[in-house]
Amino acid sequence: MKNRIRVLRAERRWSQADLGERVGVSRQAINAVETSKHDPSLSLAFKIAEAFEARIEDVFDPHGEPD
Amino acid sequence: MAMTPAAKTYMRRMLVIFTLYTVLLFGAVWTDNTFELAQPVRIILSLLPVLPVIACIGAIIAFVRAMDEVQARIVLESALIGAIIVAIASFTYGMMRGVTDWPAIYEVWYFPAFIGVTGVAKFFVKRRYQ
Repeated sequence: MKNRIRVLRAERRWSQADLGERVGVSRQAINAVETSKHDPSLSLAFKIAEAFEARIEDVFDPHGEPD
Repeated sequence: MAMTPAAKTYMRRMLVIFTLYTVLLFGAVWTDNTFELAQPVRIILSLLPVLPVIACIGAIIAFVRAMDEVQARIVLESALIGAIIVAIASFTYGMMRGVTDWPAIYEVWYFPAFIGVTGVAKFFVKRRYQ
């Protein structure tokens, strides 16, 4: 599943650890989601979207293939 | 890297459990070697060190539940790989023993083998998610 986490983080100058802290998961978890090695649970996907003040479909694209 | 509160609790509980395990194991061996005991008492004595090992299941499950979903996935995948490898290895060894004179493996080694193989598997599984 493709996502825009890296871009959204870069816009806010957040590190993976910063985002992890905001949504309550480890830096490793953010990295795994960002690089599409792990598809997040619905709950984590909503938390990530919420942290970026974006809609979930603006962060994740279930039809997109990972880069 | 700083330990999470859940990791600290886990380490504390495991320290208590393995201290208790060591005391009970050596205590049971010493008692059995020192006194003439009836067979039922010897059986109870030999099962005493198993109690802390059972307690460690609770500590492990509590720790895994406190992890985030990626960390938990890494641990569970590693444990699955560890269980499959030890099961296949012991099964294969058992089959080979039927046609060779290889020595029997003492069952008490299966659990440490599972923990060891899981640890090695975790190293590789973790890399997959990095």
